[in-house]
Amino acid sequence: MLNNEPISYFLFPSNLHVSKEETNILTILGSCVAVCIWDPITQIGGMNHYMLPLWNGKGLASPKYGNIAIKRLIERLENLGVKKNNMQAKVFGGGEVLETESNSFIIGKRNAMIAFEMLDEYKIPVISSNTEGKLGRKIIFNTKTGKVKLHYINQTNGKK
Amino acid sequence: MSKLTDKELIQELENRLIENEKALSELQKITEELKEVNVKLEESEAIKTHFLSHIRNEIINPLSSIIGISKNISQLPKDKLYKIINFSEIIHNEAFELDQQLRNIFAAAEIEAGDTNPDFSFINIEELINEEIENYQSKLIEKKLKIELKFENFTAQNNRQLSDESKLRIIFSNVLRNAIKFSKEYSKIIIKIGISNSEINILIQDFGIGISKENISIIFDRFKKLDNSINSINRGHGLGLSIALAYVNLLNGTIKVESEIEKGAAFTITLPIIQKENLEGTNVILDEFLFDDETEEIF
Repeated sequence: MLNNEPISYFLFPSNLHVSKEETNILTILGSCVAVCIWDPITQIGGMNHYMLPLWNGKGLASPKYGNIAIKRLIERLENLGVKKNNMQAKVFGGGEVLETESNSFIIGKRNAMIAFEMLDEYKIPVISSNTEGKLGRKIIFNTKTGKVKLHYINQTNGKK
Repeated sequence: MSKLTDKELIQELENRLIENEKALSELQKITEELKEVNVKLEESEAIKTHFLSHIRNEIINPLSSIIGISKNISQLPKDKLYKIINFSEIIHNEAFELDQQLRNIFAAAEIEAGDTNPDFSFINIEELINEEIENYQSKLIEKKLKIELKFENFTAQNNRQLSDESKLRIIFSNVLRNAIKFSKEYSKIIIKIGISNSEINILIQDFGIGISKENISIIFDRFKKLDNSINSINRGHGLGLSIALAYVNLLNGTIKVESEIEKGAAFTITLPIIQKENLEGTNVILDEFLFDDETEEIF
């Protein structure tokens, strides 16, 4: 490309995006969680956006579920030549935007937990995070610099 | 520390008891879920093996008949050329079947790779539905099925809506295909498309073999065919409905199923109407997406 403006990419829930080119990946999070993984050496990064913590064998094994989304994101980055021991992670989202009664249904918290647990298992350091709380979030992740801009939102317009 | 009165003490004990009970019932619920997942994991190996043999049937069989029949055509003597019409119909049907199977396999692969961002454009709902039904015409004739198609509340203003055309086609086509597959000969399929200010409803109802209560929850699982025998008269490998569900979710909609054994099944797909202003994100310019600066944080 002639100009140096990074490409913008809006990430929908249950999807993930990785890029070699400098890309601003945007997304909106309520109780969903987005994990951004970035390699400072190759300056390649990617992000997922999952809605539920674990795939329970229902439907397709898609990145709608944390355990699958995180594994796929790491695999996709490895396919682009990123080494696992250079990867750094940032974790966002997992807010409780809807009032719930029961403890086992605090989806946001469970979504965030699975990210920290899995990244720990893969030995990928989480260098910063902003999770839980009562608010939704908009985030922009720059795949070249690894920087994330975050903005709180009150109402989530039905986004999960 | 202030002294508790007896009454307060009893109250506190009661509260804790209730909390404990609640925790216990939640634990039980989670254990139940775990058990279910366990069973599914055990099944998954068997399903994989099955999947391969299914795929072989689904892809190799239609291909061999296409190859065989097209060879026949090329060797037809001049006085038998009228047979071409019949042959070409068979080729078309086999190729259509193959096409659908391959589309589903690729769609499932895309969904599982997380590569399914919706691509919204204005589409004519009536046209799309009619075209998809047209695709199944020869299947309908083969099973002597009648389609009762009804559009409700459609006007010249509202029949163009924002949606993802290719995904909507795959959703509708998979559910319709399922209805045709499980219909009995000489029965009918009711298709009702309704539209309101907030949503589009698509009902597809068949009067076929139906689904039992226990099985309704698993029909959207991948590779799930209620009849798992290789020689089952029904083709396909149980990907269609799981793809339809994933795409409907992607478009923020729902699928509801009502069914009774031997009475048929009714699938209702509900999709929200999307206003152009709300089509957040897909073509957003960065400045619009962010931010009234003061509240912005950098991580």
